[in-house]
Amino acid sequence: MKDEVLLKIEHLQKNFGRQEVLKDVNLDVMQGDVIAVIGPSGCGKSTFLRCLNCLEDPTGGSIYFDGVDLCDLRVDINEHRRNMGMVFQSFNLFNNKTILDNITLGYLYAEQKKRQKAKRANFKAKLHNFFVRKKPKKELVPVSDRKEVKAKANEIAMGLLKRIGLEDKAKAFPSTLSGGQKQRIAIIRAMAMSPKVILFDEPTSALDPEMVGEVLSLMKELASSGMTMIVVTHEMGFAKEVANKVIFFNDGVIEEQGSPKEVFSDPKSPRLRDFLSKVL
Amino acid sequence: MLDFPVAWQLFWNKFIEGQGYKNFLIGLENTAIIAVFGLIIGFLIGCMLAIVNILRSRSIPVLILKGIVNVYITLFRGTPMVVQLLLLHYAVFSLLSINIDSVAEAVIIFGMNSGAYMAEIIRSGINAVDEGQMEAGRCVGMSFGATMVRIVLPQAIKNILPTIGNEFISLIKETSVVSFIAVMDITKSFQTIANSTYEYFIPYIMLALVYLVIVLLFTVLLKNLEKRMKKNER
Repeated sequence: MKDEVLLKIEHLQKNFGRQEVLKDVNLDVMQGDVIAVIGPSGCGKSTFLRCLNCLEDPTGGSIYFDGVDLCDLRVDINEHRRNMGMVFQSFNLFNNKTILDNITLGYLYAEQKKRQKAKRANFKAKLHNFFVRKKPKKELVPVSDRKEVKAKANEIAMGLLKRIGLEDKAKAFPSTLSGGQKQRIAIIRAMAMSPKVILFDEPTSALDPEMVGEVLSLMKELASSGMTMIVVTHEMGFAKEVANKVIFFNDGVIEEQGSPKEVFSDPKSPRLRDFLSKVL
Repeated sequence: MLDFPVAWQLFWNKFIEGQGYKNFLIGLENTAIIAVFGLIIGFLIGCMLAIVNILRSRSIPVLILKGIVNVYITLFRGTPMVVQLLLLHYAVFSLLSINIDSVAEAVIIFGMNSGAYMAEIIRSGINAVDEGQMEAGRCVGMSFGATMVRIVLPQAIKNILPTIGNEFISLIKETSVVSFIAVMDITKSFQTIANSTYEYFIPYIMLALVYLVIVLLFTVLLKNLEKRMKKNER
């Protein structure tokens, strides 16, 4: 399973106006990889992450996710984003929805789209069957039941909430939660879609120090369950312990990459040595 | 000098016995119809205009849409509503020989006019919602439109509810100009009484009071609505 390439990033470039943020980034992400992205601020690591699910449209290069180039404008990006969870620095829970709705929203939306598609297909098939009698009849696609889908979504969400011990908050609004709780909800919101990869954009940077632990332990648990993760982080401890690959970004390029051991104990580039001496 | 009892008697005679209240009731109904439907149409138009306005894309269809929106807003904010009413009623519709109810005409103009104002209000409301909300919505696989409707707009509307309330109140008051296109409204009903008795003080004071009561009523209603919409924050 480990040798299957999930994300293939080739010559990725991103400019903001005249400013080049990403110059030429190449990376293969295997199934089950936990990749920690480190680097000084302003080096483009967040932009890199946001390019992966096209929150920022890349200016050049290509990103193959499951063999589909996401940079191609004809691709329905919404469909692929369902397989790519994202966790933000500032949580970004939907303020007008309860915790339960926050978690189920994406799943329900995806199911609704599927149902509409099925209904459209069925309508066409029925027309075909009615008017074209000679040809073999087209079969109808099963249409999911709205109530069943809703029950299933709630079941998934409650299961995840139970896993992080917050099931009593299901009906609460995000504004009543602490930062650590919000971030853990944000993580299970991403998990609820059962994505193939989850992107973390500095998930612990906006948290009080005492809440960092609970979020990191959830991420560790997630990593050990085999989820593919790309984590932009300043938590070197987490990078060392959990990641199987560390990437050092500098000035819009990947300056150094390798296993945590290689990167942390035997840094080759002077810039990385300088960076590590400051943060460790 | 105003002889109050006599003037009151004159007004009362016209209003009750001369059946002036029938006009008043019709006027009240028309005012309500024009203000409420004007607000609804204005809100829908405003939402569409605001969403077009916040699009960042530089593609040609979007730019054309933005141009249209700008022209629309400029035209409707740059001319008085009375002029728009007169134009629609006496120039456009009679030129095209379209014959529709004057109340419907007023609804159209009030809706389109308040849409232009509402666009700016809603845009500021959308801008006040954290950008992360849109990003998070996109990241769980929802389209721009779906995220807008389910996540961003509800929060934006909560922020701008007081301003929308003001817009509604000013719409109610502005309905007093619809008599220009021969619609019976509250103003017109009292004006009729005043003109027939040559006694202006009491009818116009009553008219002012009627508007004041309606506006106060809605002010209280809006306060309550605002409180209820705030339930998801502490």
